[in-house]
Amino acid sequence: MSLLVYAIAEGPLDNRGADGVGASAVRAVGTGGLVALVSEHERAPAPTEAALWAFDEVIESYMGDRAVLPARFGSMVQDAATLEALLDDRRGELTAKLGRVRGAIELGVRVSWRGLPAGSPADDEATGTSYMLDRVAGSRRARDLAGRLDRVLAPLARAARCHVLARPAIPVSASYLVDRGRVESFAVAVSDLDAAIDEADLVCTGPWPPYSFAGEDGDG
Amino acid sequence: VSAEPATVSARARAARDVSLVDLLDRLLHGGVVIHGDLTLSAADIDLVRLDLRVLVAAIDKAAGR
Repeated sequence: MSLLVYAIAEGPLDNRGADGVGASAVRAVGTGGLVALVSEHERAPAPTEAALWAFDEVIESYMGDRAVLPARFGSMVQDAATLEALLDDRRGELTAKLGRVRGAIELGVRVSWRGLPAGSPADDEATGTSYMLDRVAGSRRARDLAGRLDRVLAPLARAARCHVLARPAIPVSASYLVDRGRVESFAVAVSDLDAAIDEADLVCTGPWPPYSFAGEDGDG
Repeated sequence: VSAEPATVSARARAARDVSLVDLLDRLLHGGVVIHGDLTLSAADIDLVRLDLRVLVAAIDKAAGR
């Protein structure tokens, strides 16, 4: 049996008997101020929709009263001793990362064009040249929109990550690390921005565990 | 977004297809990478990524875009 890692968390931590992926029991491994939330599996769980939601729910169930660093889905470690050694090796780095997210949650802002965007795959009948021009125009519009989001929302957050045109359907997708006490004002700001921007719809998602702020700097 | 965080399951039920895209992007690209003795072989990891890409493609298509 190997261990699926859900998150690194501030310890000590009581085992709460929560159900994880595939209804496996979640427990804490580690000592002192740093623990990993894990469950046992014969092999890496398949990334089904149910498994992904279960993974997320486990992390969310612990984030209310402590700082957590979500692990990337599918992180498997062979046994508890290996994991404890790994936590010891990276104690300084992981503790610093926990400190950066303590007291904050992640909010997402996803943008979609109202109506079909320029250069969308639906423009089947466009000529090659007009298709490319539409693509360029769509890309410029997306970057302009990302800049507008950043000017309004980044000052309300501890940190921000913005992806432009990561998917055809989503010109801008951004994540913000927001203090718990500022969640409501952040949501109002997104709503105001949505009302002020005619050509796009903004959806605020979350609160999420800080997935986008747990990785390497600039790689979260 | 409410002032007090809703549970993820409530969020999922409210807008499942929409939130799944957000969840996938976070689980696939975010999170701290736990190194060590990974039991996933390179082939397994490719399969995981492939499954996720197929799922994302299906969601994009279902969104009608």
